[in-house]
Amino acid sequence: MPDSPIPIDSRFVNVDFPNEAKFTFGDLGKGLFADAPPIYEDAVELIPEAEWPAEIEKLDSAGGSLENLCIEIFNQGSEGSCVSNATAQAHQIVQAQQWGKPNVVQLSAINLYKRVGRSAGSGSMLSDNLDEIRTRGILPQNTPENIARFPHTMPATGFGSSMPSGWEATAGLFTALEQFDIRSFAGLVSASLRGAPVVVGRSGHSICYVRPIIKSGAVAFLYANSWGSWGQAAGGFAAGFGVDTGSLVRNSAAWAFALRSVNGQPKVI
Amino acid sequence: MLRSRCLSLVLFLAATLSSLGQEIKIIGPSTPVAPNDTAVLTVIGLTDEEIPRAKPTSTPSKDVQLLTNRPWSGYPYLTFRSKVPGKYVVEVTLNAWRSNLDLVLQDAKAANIQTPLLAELEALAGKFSASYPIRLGTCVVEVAGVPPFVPPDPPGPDPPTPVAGRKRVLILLERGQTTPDQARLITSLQGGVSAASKYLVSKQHLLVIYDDDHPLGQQWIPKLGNLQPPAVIVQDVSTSTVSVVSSLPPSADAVIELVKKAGG
Repeated sequence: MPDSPIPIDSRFVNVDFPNEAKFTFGDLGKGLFADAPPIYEDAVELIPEAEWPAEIEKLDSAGGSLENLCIEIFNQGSEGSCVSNATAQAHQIVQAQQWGKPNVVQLSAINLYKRVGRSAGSGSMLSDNLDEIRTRGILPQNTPENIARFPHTMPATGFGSSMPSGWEATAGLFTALEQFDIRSFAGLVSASLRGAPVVVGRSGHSICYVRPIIKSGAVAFLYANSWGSWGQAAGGFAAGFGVDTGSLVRNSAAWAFALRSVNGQPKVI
Repeated sequence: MLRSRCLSLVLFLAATLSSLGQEIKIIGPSTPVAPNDTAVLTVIGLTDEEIPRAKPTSTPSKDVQLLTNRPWSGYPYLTFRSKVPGKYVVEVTLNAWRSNLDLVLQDAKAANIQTPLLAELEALAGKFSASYPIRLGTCVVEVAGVPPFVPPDPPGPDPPTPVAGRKRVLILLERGQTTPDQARLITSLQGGVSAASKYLVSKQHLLVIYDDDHPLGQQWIPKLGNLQPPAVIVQDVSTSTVSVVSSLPPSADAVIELVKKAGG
């Protein structure tokens, strides 16, 4: 299998996050889903492994996949909110799929993290983030446009910031509607090929897988990180992305969920 | 027995009174929308029981399409559309007090409760209905000014003559069964990278992907006729004319051809 013809910066391939002392982690593992979402491998037909290379080649020919639907690279700063940032990124990607990038409402990862983390650096579990975003949603980020539109917003970071009174009403506009618990590498690849952003956890850090690629003859994944300017270029961004291969991807498949559809507030439809 | 019924009535009344204070909010677009764009207005503050009794209105209402929508989760919302530029006050009103109290009093009468207390309650109803006549949520939707709307020529014989201008492109499909080809098609159209996506942006066409079982998607199912999703519908924004209904083609470029065929 020929490698995907996308520029890959070797500095950001198979990064072992705990060795990145500059950054904060915060993935505490998968945990138990309070009201278990469907298991992807049971709910959706898996794409046979023999078809993966051809499907990935089609993504290459199309100029990429979900990296082109990101409207921002998140930056969790010095807080352990990586799972919440990856979850918010996945929600925004699905918004872009459903009604276009100009209609995406930027979300506040800290609003989600404050409900699932014990402290600024404690980290959180994938299950808690998914349970929260599908039941109570997530607030918009406090951009000027969002402040004008919505009664409740929050910043992107700042565990010490207060939750605005009555925030639940606005957060409830931005819930996840359909989501799947991924249990296997085949499920991870199939979900991604079928266009779902996948939130994964590994090495104490959580990221959002945006597309499979071929690297060194094997399936690898391009992901959107939440460390601001860290990482390589993709999707029109100068930085923000990394690549996982081999065992790292298989580790990720053990801590993963996919988002399929979301609620949101498009300006026009 | 009678005293017990009256006590229940008073307790119910107290509970009804205590629920009167919840504010109704309508969240709509903060910037003007184009004529015939469909704005989404989310309504917050209504209970499930109250939603069917809430009344949405638009002032002015001429040439306005205001539809109610109740998703399977989340808040109810309105879709607003007008082809005439201007400012529209959209309101949702709920006569919560009168309705709930009337029900209580009707029940009391049906139970043949005839006490001075009932008469007092009726008097109380009149008094409080003046104090709490309605609950009201308000939102102003501005439809941006454009050259005056010129009605299109009457539709010709089938197929209708394509109308040049902005198009609303709807793709209806069951996202739970999205194939890799469909996923690539969606990304290609929405991603801003492909020639197809750039074409849509350059012409200011709107592209929306609806689940066929979502309330917004279901509104369009009748337009499909005998077709089954996945399908694509192309509608002219200024005239609301649906000029193309087709099975979802295999590529983003083929979708663009449909848009062009519709005059877009």
